[in-house]
Amino acid sequence: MPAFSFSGLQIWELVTHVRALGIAHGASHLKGDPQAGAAIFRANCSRCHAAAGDGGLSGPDLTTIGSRRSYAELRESLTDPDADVASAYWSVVATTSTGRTVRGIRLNEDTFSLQIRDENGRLLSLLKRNLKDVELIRRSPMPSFAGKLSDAQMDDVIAWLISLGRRQ
Amino acid sequence: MWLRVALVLGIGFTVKAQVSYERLRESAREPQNWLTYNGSYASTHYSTLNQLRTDNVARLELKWVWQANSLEKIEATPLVVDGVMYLTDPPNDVVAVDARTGRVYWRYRHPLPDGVAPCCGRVSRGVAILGNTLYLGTLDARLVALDVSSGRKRWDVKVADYEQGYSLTLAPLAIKNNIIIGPAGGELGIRGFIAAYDAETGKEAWRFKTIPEPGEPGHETWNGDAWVHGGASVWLTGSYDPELNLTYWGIGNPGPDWNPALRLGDNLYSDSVVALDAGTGKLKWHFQFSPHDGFDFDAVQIPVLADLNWKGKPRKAMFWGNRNGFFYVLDRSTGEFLFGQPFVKQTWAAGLDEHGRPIRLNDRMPSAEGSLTYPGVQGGTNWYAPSFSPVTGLFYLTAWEDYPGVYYSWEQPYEPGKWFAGGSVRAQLPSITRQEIRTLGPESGYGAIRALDPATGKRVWEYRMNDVSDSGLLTTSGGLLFSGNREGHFFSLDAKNGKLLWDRYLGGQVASSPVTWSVDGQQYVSIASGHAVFTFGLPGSQ
Repeated sequence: MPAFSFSGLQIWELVTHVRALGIAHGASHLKGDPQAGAAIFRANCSRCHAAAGDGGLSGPDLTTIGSRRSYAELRESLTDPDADVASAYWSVVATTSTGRTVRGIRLNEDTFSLQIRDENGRLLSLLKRNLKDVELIRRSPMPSFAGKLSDAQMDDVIAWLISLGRRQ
Repeated sequence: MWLRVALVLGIGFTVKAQVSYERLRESAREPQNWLTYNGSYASTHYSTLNQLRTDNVARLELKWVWQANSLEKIEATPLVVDGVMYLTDPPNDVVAVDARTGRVYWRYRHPLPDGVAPCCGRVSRGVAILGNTLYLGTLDARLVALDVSSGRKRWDVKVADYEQGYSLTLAPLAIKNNIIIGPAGGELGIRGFIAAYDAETGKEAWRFKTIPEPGEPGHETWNGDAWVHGGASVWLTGSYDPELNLTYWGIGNPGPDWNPALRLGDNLYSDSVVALDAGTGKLKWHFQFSPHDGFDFDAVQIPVLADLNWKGKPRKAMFWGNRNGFFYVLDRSTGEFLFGQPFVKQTWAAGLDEHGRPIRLNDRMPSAEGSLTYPGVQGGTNWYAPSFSPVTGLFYLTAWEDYPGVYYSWEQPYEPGKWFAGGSVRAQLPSITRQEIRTLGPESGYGAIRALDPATGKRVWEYRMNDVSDSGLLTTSGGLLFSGNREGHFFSLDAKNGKLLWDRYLGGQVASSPVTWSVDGQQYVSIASGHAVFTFGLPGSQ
């Protein structure tokens, strides 16, 4: 291969493009069955995750995930959900000064307060001065599907998510 | 001068008179006003007003809000002169506001030509006043003089070529009959300077080039033609010592920012403070904080001038919390380095030598693979105002602690007016933008207001915040420190111990400095947050 005399910016743009090629679209040769994947998703994932306008709110909306993540990343999310949890989905376990324990996804935080959504979907405001203890949980509440879904079933789910991304 | 007279009818009116150089020099005699960007030539961001104190600040209440027309970030620190507040509505409009009510007296509109693309935001940090004229630097690199009572333009001169990447974002500094200014554009391949203009005519009086030209001392610190587009911008108002007749300015990064191999040498006077004769612009001394910088560590901080007892002798000192993560004390008569030490976590230098030169760790320079270094690109602190209180004897600054960046380097050809940075920096914290939602973990870094003993550099206290802050600081003889932050809070601390005394959530990022002033004998404090300026006072005042 010859050396290219690209500018730094051009190299960066090229890197961005190549990275974009690595997203799950690039894995469309996979054998998963999108239709079967949709059914598996509804049965196993949609309580927490929305996709294509349907599903729960506690996890990330996955409608466009197929255009933003590689096959390997999606596969890892299914088998090892704790591997890469976006900070917007970290949760807290807070103990109030009266001893009550409150849990939820940490939606926002500043110097004085936390805004969380508990597992029932309620929005709660916590003032730090009223808390004895706050633990930040970076793990995902999602269980691993290793051993629960077969390799083929996981490919079906991924194929369905990729097909959603294509329609965007 | 303008004299405010309150009649029994409750009408405030003004009597025309001028803000002379003598008034600027003796600004401490009229603490009811905030006459320069930094409040005084010494730039201590300290006020002798003491109606607001530690025992009553909790009673502060909102008096008025001025809403900007613009949705750009407000980085301006307002001037307050005899009951009138002057500030910029971004990018380059100027408004005169009735400081008692927040109502606008007049507005100057400055349309910008197409093609104005400043490197780092469409910001203006404010105006200067001298006589009965206001002075504004614009993003199309013009210096504009406005009549103080009408906002009408007196004159308008070209300072530099905006199509080559030059812009004026700082508030000018008026000294004697000169208006001093310099250009931003350190990421666009400009070559910086500090220039003085005659206040009456707009004619250039002198120009100091922040990169020495061939034949001038210091030119040898650049290899080849690297000096031609070497940056060394000027984007923050300097300070002035009338006794020494020296004006002090912090100089920006060398360019391209993150590929220092393209500009071998120390790259003077980038990342330096320069002390210039205010009458001639001649260099008296310089001190370079970050020679051959590879991290964009502009020395664009406000030079804080105060006297210090150093080893039993009084010194005319300069305190400097630098973006590179070190706090410095210099002798401002001579530029002698007295001492320096880190005030935040830094990993790019092993320390400072006896002359204050960093002992750098070369394996930490930006690279093609990325080099993880502390502090990140916004630095341990940045352009927002620090403060020095003679009451506590403490130096205060806004710090970004435990804040890393991954520095990348690449080849960079120069193209006129185009981005010329030679790399990039990755960090979890966004540079300037306020994040309405903050869910990052502490490993991204956090903000703190820190009080340092300027004689030792030791930390006396810290007020820790969840997010970082781009807000400057204000201290008062009432024992208070005021600041805001990126979260949108505006608050007051006890300047002695950092204890929180009062807080209001204003909901918009604070990216300027608080000011305090008084009208009709009542003390107020004002802060820009989001796209508005909020003014607070005690109950019972107007």
